[in-house]
Amino acid sequence: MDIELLVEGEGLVEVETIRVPEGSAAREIVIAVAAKGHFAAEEAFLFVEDSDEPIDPVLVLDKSMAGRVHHVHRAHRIDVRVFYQGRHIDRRFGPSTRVERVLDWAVGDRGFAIDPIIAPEMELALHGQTTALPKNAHIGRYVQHPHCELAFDLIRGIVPNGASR
Amino acid sequence: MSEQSPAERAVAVDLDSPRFRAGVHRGHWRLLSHTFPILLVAVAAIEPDGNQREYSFRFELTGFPGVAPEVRKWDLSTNTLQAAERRPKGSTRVSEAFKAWGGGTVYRPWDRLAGAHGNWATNYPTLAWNPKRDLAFVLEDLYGLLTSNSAAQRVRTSA
Repeated sequence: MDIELLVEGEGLVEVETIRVPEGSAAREIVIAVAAKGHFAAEEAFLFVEDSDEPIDPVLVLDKSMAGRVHHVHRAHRIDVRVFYQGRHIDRRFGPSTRVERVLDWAVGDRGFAIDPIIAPEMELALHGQTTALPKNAHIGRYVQHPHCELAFDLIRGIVPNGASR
Repeated sequence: MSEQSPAERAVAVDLDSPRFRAGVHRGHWRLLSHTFPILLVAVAAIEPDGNQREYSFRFELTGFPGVAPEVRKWDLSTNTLQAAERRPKGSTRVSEAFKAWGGGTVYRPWDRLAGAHGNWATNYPTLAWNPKRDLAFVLEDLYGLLTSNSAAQRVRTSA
Protein backbone atom coordinates (compact mmCIF):
# COMPACT_ATOMS: atom_id res chain seq x y z
CA MET A 1 0.00 0.00 0.00
CA ASP A 2 1.36 3.42 -0.96
CA ILE A 3 1.16 6.60 1.09
CA GLU A 4 0.59 9.90 -0.70
CA LEU A 5 2.68 12.72 0.75
CA LEU A 6 2.79 16.47 0.19
CA VAL A 7 6.32 17.70 -0.42
CA GLU A 8 8.32 20.78 -1.23
CA GLY A 9 12.00 20.91 -2.01
CA GLU A 10 14.98 22.28 -3.78
CA GLY A 11 14.18 22.74 -7.45
CA LEU A 12 10.39 22.57 -6.88
CA VAL A 13 8.38 25.74 -7.37
CA GLU A 14 5.25 24.54 -5.58
CA VAL A 15 3.99 21.89 -3.18
CA GLU A 16 3.61 18.55 -4.97
CA THR A 17 2.53 15.01 -4.18
CA ILE A 18 4.61 11.86 -4.22
CA ARG A 19 3.68 8.24 -3.53
CA VAL A 20 5.93 6.02 -1.43
CA PRO A 21 5.35 2.51 -0.09
CA GLU A 22 4.03 2.36 3.48
CA GLY A 23 6.60 0.70 5.74
CA SER A 24 9.58 1.83 3.68
CA ALA A 25 12.30 4.16 4.97
CA ALA A 26 11.89 7.94 4.91
CA ARG A 27 14.84 7.93 2.53
CA GLU A 28 12.26 7.07 -0.17
CA ILE A 29 10.87 10.60 0.19
CA VAL A 30 14.35 12.02 -0.37
CA ILE A 31 14.86 9.87 -3.45
CA ALA A 32 11.49 10.86 -4.95
CA VAL A 33 11.94 14.60 -4.39
CA ALA A 34 15.56 14.54 -5.54
CA ALA A 35 14.40 12.98 -8.81
CA LYS A 36 11.88 15.80 -9.27
CA GLY A 37 14.44 18.45 -8.34
CA HIS A 38 17.23 16.86 -10.42
CA PHE A 39 19.85 16.49 -7.69
CA ALA A 40 21.64 13.62 -5.94
CA ALA A 41 19.60 12.10 -3.11
CA GLU A 42 22.76 11.17 -1.21
CA GLU A 43 23.48 14.84 -0.50
CA ALA A 44 20.00 15.79 0.68
CA PHE A 45 18.28 16.21 4.05
CA LEU A 46 14.63 15.52 4.89
CA PHE A 47 12.64 17.98 7.03
CA VAL A 48 9.11 18.31 8.35
CA GLU A 49 7.55 21.72 7.60
CA ASP A 50 8.74 24.51 9.92
CA SER A 51 11.32 22.30 11.61
CA ASP A 52 14.98 23.34 11.74
CA GLU A 53 16.32 19.83 12.28
CA PRO A 54 16.30 17.06 9.65
CA ILE A 55 14.60 13.76 10.39
CA ASP A 56 16.33 10.41 10.31
CA PRO A 57 16.18 8.92 6.80
CA VAL A 58 15.84 5.39 8.22
CA LEU A 59 12.57 6.31 9.95
CA VAL A 60 9.80 3.94 8.84
CA LEU A 61 7.00 5.64 6.93
CA ASP A 62 3.44 5.30 8.17
CA LYS A 63 0.13 6.97 7.36
CA SER A 64 0.55 9.61 10.09
CA MET A 65 3.22 11.25 7.92
CA ALA A 66 0.65 11.94 5.20
CA GLY A 67 -0.81 14.75 7.29
CA ARG A 68 2.34 16.86 7.21
CA VAL A 69 4.20 18.65 4.44
CA HIS A 70 7.81 17.49 4.07
CA HIS A 71 10.81 19.17 2.47
CA VAL A 72 13.97 17.84 0.84
CA HIS A 73 16.98 20.07 0.35
CA ARG A 74 20.76 19.80 0.12
CA ALA A 75 21.17 22.79 2.44
CA HIS A 76 21.00 21.83 6.12
CA ARG A 77 20.39 25.44 7.17
CA ILE A 78 19.73 28.71 5.36
CA ASP A 79 21.26 31.97 6.54
CA VAL A 80 18.43 34.49 6.28
CA ARG A 81 18.91 38.25 6.19
CA VAL A 82 15.96 40.67 6.28
CA PHE A 83 16.33 44.33 5.29
CA TYR A 84 14.08 47.13 6.51
CA GLN A 85 14.59 50.89 6.48
CA GLY A 86 18.37 50.76 6.11
CA ARG A 87 18.91 48.08 8.76
CA HIS A 88 19.15 44.33 8.57
CA ILE A 89 18.74 41.36 10.89
CA ASP A 90 20.07 37.81 10.52
CA ARG A 91 18.98 34.38 11.62
CA ARG A 92 19.51 30.79 10.52
CA PHE A 93 16.45 28.68 9.59
CA GLY A 94 15.84 25.21 8.18
CA PRO A 95 14.85 25.12 4.49
CA SER A 96 11.37 23.79 5.35
CA THR A 97 10.56 27.03 7.18
CA ARG A 98 7.50 28.79 5.79
CA VAL A 99 7.79 32.44 4.81
CA GLU A 100 5.17 33.21 7.47
CA ARG A 101 7.52 32.03 10.25
CA VAL A 102 10.32 34.28 9.00
CA LEU A 103 7.86 37.18 8.77
CA ASP A 104 6.66 36.60 12.34
CA TRP A 105 10.25 36.75 13.55
CA ALA A 106 11.06 39.84 11.47
CA VAL A 107 8.14 41.92 12.79
CA GLY A 108 8.50 40.68 16.39
CA ASP A 109 10.68 42.11 19.14
CA ARG A 110 13.60 39.85 18.18
CA GLY A 111 13.39 41.38 14.74
CA PHE A 112 12.44 44.97 13.91
CA ALA A 113 9.76 45.31 16.64
CA ILE A 114 7.32 46.78 14.15
CA ASP A 115 4.54 48.98 15.56
CA PRO A 116 1.55 46.68 16.31
CA ILE A 117 -0.69 48.98 14.28
CA ILE A 118 1.16 48.30 11.04
CA ALA A 119 2.71 44.89 11.84
CA PRO A 120 -0.33 43.04 10.34
CA GLU A 121 0.25 44.83 7.04
CA MET A 122 3.87 43.72 6.59
CA GLU A 123 5.00 41.15 4.05
CA LEU A 124 8.27 39.66 2.83
CA ALA A 125 9.62 40.06 -0.70
CA LEU A 126 12.84 38.73 -2.15
CA HIS A 127 15.53 41.37 -1.65
CA GLY A 128 15.28 44.06 -4.32
CA GLN A 129 11.79 43.00 -5.40
CA THR A 130 8.34 44.31 -4.48
CA THR A 131 6.03 41.31 -4.84
CA ALA A 132 4.92 39.80 -1.53
CA LEU A 133 5.85 36.13 -1.25
CA PRO A 134 3.23 33.47 -0.47
CA LYS A 135 3.29 32.92 3.29
CA ASN A 136 3.07 29.15 3.00
CA ALA A 137 6.05 28.82 0.67
CA HIS A 138 9.07 27.04 2.15
CA ILE A 139 12.13 29.28 2.01
CA GLY A 140 14.14 26.41 0.52
CA ARG A 141 12.28 27.07 -2.75
CA TYR A 142 14.35 30.18 -3.23
CA VAL A 143 17.78 28.67 -2.53
CA GLN A 144 19.80 26.41 -4.79
CA HIS A 145 22.69 24.35 -3.44
CA PRO A 146 25.61 25.10 -2.90
CA HIS A 147 24.23 28.50 -1.87
CA CYS A 148 22.70 28.66 1.58
CA GLU A 149 21.95 32.37 1.95
CA LEU A 150 18.66 34.16 1.32
CA ALA A 151 17.82 37.86 1.62
CA PHE A 152 14.36 39.40 2.00
CA ASP A 153 12.96 42.91 2.21
CA LEU A 154 10.26 43.62 4.77
CA ILE A 155 7.62 45.56 2.82
CA ARG A 156 4.20 47.08 3.41
CA GLY A 157 1.50 44.89 1.85
CA ILE A 158 -0.83 46.17 -0.82
CA VAL A 159 -4.14 47.65 0.34
CA PRO A 160 -6.30 47.89 -2.77
CA ASN A 161 -8.05 51.22 -2.74
CA GLY A 162 -5.71 52.18 0.10
CA ALA A 163 -2.70 54.44 0.37
CA SER A 164 0.17 51.96 0.26
CA ARG A 165 0.41 51.82 -3.52
CA MET B 1 -26.36 10.97 -15.91
CA SER B 2 -25.36 14.55 -16.67
CA GLU B 3 -21.87 15.37 -17.86
CA GLN B 4 -19.69 17.77 -15.88
CA SER B 5 -19.13 21.17 -17.43
CA PRO B 6 -15.52 22.32 -17.98
CA ALA B 7 -15.92 24.71 -15.06
CA GLU B 8 -17.19 21.94 -12.78
CA ARG B 9 -14.27 19.71 -13.78
CA ALA B 10 -11.81 22.55 -13.16
CA VAL B 11 -13.18 23.09 -9.66
CA ALA B 12 -12.95 19.36 -8.91
CA VAL B 13 -9.32 19.31 -10.06
CA ASP B 14 -8.55 22.33 -7.88
CA LEU B 15 -10.14 20.78 -4.79
CA ASP B 16 -7.93 17.72 -5.26
CA SER B 17 -4.76 19.73 -5.93
CA PRO B 18 -1.69 19.53 -3.64
CA ARG B 19 -2.02 23.26 -2.90
CA PHE B 20 -5.63 22.98 -1.72
CA ARG B 21 -4.92 19.81 0.27
CA ALA B 22 -1.83 21.35 1.88
CA GLY B 23 -4.02 24.17 3.24
CA VAL B 24 -6.43 21.60 4.69
CA HIS B 25 -3.57 19.62 6.28
CA ARG B 26 -2.16 22.80 7.81
CA GLY B 27 -5.55 23.67 9.30
CA HIS B 28 -5.74 26.88 7.29
CA TRP B 29 -9.06 26.08 5.63
CA ARG B 30 -11.60 23.29 5.28
CA LEU B 31 -14.24 22.41 2.75
CA LEU B 32 -17.78 22.75 4.13
CA SER B 33 -19.80 21.82 1.05
CA HIS B 34 -19.62 21.78 -2.71
CA THR B 35 -22.56 21.63 -5.08
CA PHE B 36 -21.36 23.27 -8.27
CA PRO B 37 -21.31 26.19 -8.83
CA ILE B 38 -21.47 26.92 -5.08
CA LEU B 39 -18.58 26.13 -2.77
CA LEU B 40 -18.55 26.85 0.97
CA VAL B 41 -15.18 26.99 2.75
CA ALA B 42 -14.24 27.87 6.34
CA VAL B 43 -10.97 29.75 6.80
CA ALA B 44 -9.03 29.94 10.07
CA ALA B 45 -8.65 33.38 11.64
CA ILE B 46 -7.02 35.14 14.56
CA GLU B 47 -9.03 37.94 16.13
CA PRO B 48 -7.43 41.21 17.33
CA ASP B 49 -7.58 39.84 20.91
CA GLY B 50 -5.59 36.77 19.85
CA ASN B 51 -8.50 34.30 19.94
CA GLN B 52 -8.76 31.79 17.12
CA ARG B 53 -11.94 31.26 15.12
CA GLU B 54 -13.17 30.52 11.61
CA TYR B 55 -14.98 32.60 9.01
CA SER B 56 -17.06 31.06 6.23
CA PHE B 57 -17.03 32.07 2.58
CA ARG B 58 -19.38 31.33 -0.30
CA PHE B 59 -17.74 30.96 -3.72
CA GLU B 60 -19.87 31.21 -6.86
CA LEU B 61 -17.81 29.51 -9.57
CA THR B 62 -19.71 29.70 -12.85
CA GLY B 63 -17.23 29.80 -15.74
CA PHE B 64 -14.24 28.94 -13.50
CA PRO B 65 -11.33 29.51 -14.02
CA GLY B 66 -11.92 31.69 -17.10
CA VAL B 67 -14.28 33.78 -14.97
CA ALA B 68 -13.10 34.94 -11.56
CA PRO B 69 -14.81 33.49 -8.47
CA GLU B 70 -17.44 35.65 -6.79
CA VAL B 71 -16.67 35.35 -3.08
CA ARG B 72 -18.88 36.49 -0.22
CA LYS B 73 -18.37 36.46 3.50
CA TRP B 74 -21.15 34.05 4.49
CA ASP B 75 -23.33 33.46 7.55
CA LEU B 76 -23.97 29.73 7.67
CA SER B 77 -26.72 30.01 10.29
CA THR B 78 -28.92 32.15 8.04
CA ASN B 79 -27.40 31.16 4.67
CA THR B 80 -27.04 34.84 3.80
CA LEU B 81 -24.34 37.45 3.41
CA GLN B 82 -22.75 38.06 6.81
CA ALA B 83 -23.81 41.27 8.51
CA ALA B 84 -21.17 44.00 8.33
CA GLU B 85 -20.80 44.24 12.11
CA ARG B 86 -19.89 40.55 12.36
CA ARG B 87 -17.15 40.62 9.77
CA PRO B 88 -13.41 40.22 10.49
CA LYS B 89 -11.66 43.07 12.24
CA GLY B 90 -8.03 44.13 12.22
CA SER B 91 -5.70 46.40 10.29
CA THR B 92 -6.71 48.70 7.45
CA ARG B 93 -6.00 45.89 5.04
CA VAL B 94 -8.46 43.60 6.84
CA SER B 95 -11.21 46.17 7.27
CA GLU B 96 -10.91 47.20 3.60
CA ALA B 97 -11.07 43.61 2.37
CA PHE B 98 -14.22 42.74 4.33
CA LYS B 99 -16.07 46.03 4.29
CA ALA B 100 -19.66 46.32 3.08
CA TRP B 101 -19.55 47.74 -0.42
CA GLY B 102 -21.92 47.89 -3.39
CA GLY B 103 -20.91 44.55 -4.87
CA GLY B 104 -21.34 42.70 -1.57
CA THR B 105 -18.27 40.53 -2.22
CA VAL B 106 -14.82 40.37 -0.64
CA TYR B 107 -13.10 43.60 -1.68
CA ARG B 108 -9.97 42.11 -3.27
CA PRO B 109 -8.73 42.27 -6.87
CA TRP B 110 -9.20 38.51 -7.43
CA ASP B 111 -12.96 38.74 -6.80
CA ARG B 112 -15.22 38.81 -9.87
CA LEU B 113 -17.00 42.04 -8.94
CA ALA B 114 -14.29 43.88 -7.03
CA GLY B 115 -11.68 43.05 -9.65
CA ALA B 116 -13.87 44.45 -12.41
CA HIS B 117 -13.95 47.97 -11.00
CA GLY B 118 -11.44 50.75 -10.46
CA ASN B 119 -8.99 49.39 -13.06
CA TRP B 120 -7.82 46.92 -10.41
CA ALA B 121 -6.68 44.26 -12.87
CA THR B 122 -4.09 46.72 -14.18
CA ASN B 123 -3.26 48.38 -10.89
CA TYR B 124 -2.85 45.19 -8.84
CA PRO B 125 -1.62 42.44 -11.18
CA THR B 126 -0.19 40.34 -8.34
CA LEU B 127 -3.62 40.11 -6.71
CA ALA B 128 -5.85 40.19 -9.80
CA TRP B 129 -7.53 37.06 -11.11
CA ASN B 130 -6.41 35.31 -14.28
CA PRO B 131 -7.29 31.84 -15.60
CA LYS B 132 -3.98 30.42 -14.31
CA ARG B 133 -4.98 31.17 -10.73
CA ASP B 134 -6.55 28.52 -8.52
CA LEU B 135 -8.81 28.36 -5.47
CA ALA B 136 -5.77 28.02 -3.20
CA PHE B 137 -4.57 31.43 -4.41
CA VAL B 138 -7.76 33.01 -3.10
CA LEU B 139 -7.75 30.96 0.09
CA GLU B 140 -4.10 31.78 0.83
CA ASP B 141 -4.91 35.48 0.50
CA LEU B 142 -7.96 35.15 2.77
CA TYR B 143 -5.98 33.13 5.33
CA GLY B 144 -3.16 35.70 5.25
CA LEU B 145 -5.62 38.54 5.88
CA LEU B 146 -7.56 36.71 8.57
CA THR B 147 -4.47 35.69 10.54
CA SER B 148 -2.58 38.97 10.10
CA ASN B 149 -3.64 40.02 13.61
CA SER B 150 -1.11 37.47 14.89
CA ALA B 151 1.68 39.87 13.87
CA ALA B 152 0.35 42.57 16.19
CA GLN B 153 -0.09 39.99 18.94
CA ARG B 154 3.51 38.86 18.49
CA VAL B 155 4.83 42.38 19.01
CA ARG B 156 2.47 43.14 21.92
CA THR B 157 3.09 39.93 23.84
CA SER B 158 6.85 40.15 23.50
CA ALA B 159 7.12 43.88 24.23
